[in-house]
Amino acid sequence: MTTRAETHPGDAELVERLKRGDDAAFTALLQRYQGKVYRLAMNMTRNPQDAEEVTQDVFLAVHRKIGDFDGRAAFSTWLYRVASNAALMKLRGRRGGPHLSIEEERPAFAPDGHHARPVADWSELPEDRLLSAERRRVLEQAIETLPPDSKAVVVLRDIEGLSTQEVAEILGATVLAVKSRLHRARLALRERLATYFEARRARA
Amino acid sequence: MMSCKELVNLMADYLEGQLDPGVARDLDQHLADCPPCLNFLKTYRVTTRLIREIACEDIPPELEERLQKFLRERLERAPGQ
Repeated sequence: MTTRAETHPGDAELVERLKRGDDAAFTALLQRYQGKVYRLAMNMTRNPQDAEEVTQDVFLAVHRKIGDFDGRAAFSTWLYRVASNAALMKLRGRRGGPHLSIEEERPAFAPDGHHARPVADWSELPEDRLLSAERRRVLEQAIETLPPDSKAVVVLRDIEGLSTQEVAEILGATVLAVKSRLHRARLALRERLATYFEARRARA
Repeated sequence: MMSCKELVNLMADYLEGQLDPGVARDLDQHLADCPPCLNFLKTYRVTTRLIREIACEDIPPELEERLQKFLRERLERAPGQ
């Protein structure tokens, strides 16, 4: 009987083998992580061709730079860092449409700290109305126009489900900076959805 | 007394259960008396859920194959690069 370790070597072992030039270890890491890297790239770029290029670049970089990986962080954290940077480069290199101004898309408050506008509850709409094709587009467009740094935080934290600490390590930011960037991005996205739902209600 | 603005700024930590118990109690109290903040909280929470739900799907199998072929060829051409 083979043990689990023999059939499924851990990342650390594969990394050591790759450092010694073992191509089978590279293939094993590729098979283990290509789906994750692609999904991250796709969620960041929302473009299949860009996502494919990012995934290629990431694994070429893994092969080339594995010697720089010192094992202090988990391999997956290092890989996410390489992947996030590659996706961010792709986004920054894009001739840009307008970015959503995170500062402008904020809830409004009166000087005394009360909400300046009525706040409707659209959270309990039936599921099919909550995420209809149209609504999906509104949200996708809003995410699309987030500034790249904010988008990275939203994708890693809210879509990939990584912890704030992990996201901070991946992006080389402080936990506080990640939290505040995430909160402001969510507020901007919520504001977009609210504007959409309220306009719909006004028309109805 | 916590203001609506303060409450909105604490919302992410509140939803993750990361507030000090005393602050969380103040926030609960505010929510109990403030329908706009309750609506805001619910729509903030559902926004994060919708973000997750529009996530892109998994890598297509044909792309996995293409990727492995591309990398094999590139790495064979430039071993050790």
